[in-house]
Amino acid sequence: MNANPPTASASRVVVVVAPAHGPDADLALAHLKGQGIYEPEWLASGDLGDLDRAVRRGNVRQVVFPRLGCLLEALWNEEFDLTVWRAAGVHIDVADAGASTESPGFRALLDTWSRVRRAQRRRQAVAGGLLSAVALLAAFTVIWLAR
Amino acid sequence: MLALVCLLAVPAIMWLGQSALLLAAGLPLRVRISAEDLPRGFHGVNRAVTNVAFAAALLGYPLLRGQSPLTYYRRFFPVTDARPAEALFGIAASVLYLALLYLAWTLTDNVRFRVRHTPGRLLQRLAGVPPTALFVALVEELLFRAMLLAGLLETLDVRIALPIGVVAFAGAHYIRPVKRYWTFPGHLALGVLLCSAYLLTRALWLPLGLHAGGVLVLMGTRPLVRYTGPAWLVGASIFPYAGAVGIAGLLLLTVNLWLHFGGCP
Repeated sequence: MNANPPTASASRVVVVVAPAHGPDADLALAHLKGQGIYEPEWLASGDLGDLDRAVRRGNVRQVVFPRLGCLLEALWNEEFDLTVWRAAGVHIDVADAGASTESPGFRALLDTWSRVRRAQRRRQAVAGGLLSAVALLAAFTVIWLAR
Repeated sequence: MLALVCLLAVPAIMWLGQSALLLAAGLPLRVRISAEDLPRGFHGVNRAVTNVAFAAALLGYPLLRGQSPLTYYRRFFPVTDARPAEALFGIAASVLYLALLYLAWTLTDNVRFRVRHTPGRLLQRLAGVPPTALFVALVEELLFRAMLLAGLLETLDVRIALPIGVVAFAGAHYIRPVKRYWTFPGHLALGVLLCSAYLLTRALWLPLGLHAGGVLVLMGTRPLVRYTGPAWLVGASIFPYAGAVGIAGLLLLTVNLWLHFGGCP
């Protein structure tokens, strides 16, 4: 996928989180055809790290997951920060017809997930900071005593 | 100053090589050193040019001083008084700090265990880690401590030579475009640690051990962990030393070295 920094003329791309060929690709293409989009970018590697960086640079306007399970799995595994993507104005879409991301239920799910993650991140940072200080102190003391 | 000139010759040679390859591929020249857009077949040649640039600087510096490279670099590896043991001390210190930090981060869910490859590929990658760590550490220590810092110290006061050595070491990691630039303070702190290790011992054993131990842990854990905590705190990818905790750790380890190896150089 195109993860280059945006240029003055570059338009924001639509990215499908799937290889360019196969059932997931067919599902996504059929879905995008309904929106008049025929040439999306493909994230064949499945590594959302590159896509996340492209979103943060403002290169992406829409991300299409072929199935709801793909999106939820990526969310639970924290392969991207939903809050950041939404703040960047990225439209997250699921190609599987049964799961519209525009439904109130789905939006409530994403809102709740964002809120829970924010609270979790605060706890992670505080606990990580405290335990890191203990670890650093322990390492410093061991080496100091080894004189 | 000759050392600085030799070091600056590295990016110059890299740029000349890249320009020749761009012209050969019918692509426009660019100021930035970057292999992107080069046709796939040219990447190997580009890497070879980079290696030649490093070798030219490392071998050219002593030759320009009128010494053989072997004679020049051998003095940084004294073998009397159990000095090689300083390398083991360095490896142990790096591994201790990083292991305790990874333990703390795993317990607090800032880092998660996740195997990124198939078992065969993972074993292949892990098997390559020790020699790579040693090679990377050796080349960088020869270049930035034995050549640059030692060279600068011959003509400059330590208060001037040290900052130049640190900034040159950190800046060298950003000659090519990289994914992350916020890691620069971490590289500065790493430079302070490694330059201090050289200043305190006037040999390469300790900085080599610290450097190799660090690379060993970072490359060894890379295929096994994923960062889920805030990058400002714990860093990311192979840069755990670039977060706030990592920088604090590097500075604490520097204090450790000063206490252990006798304070002022």
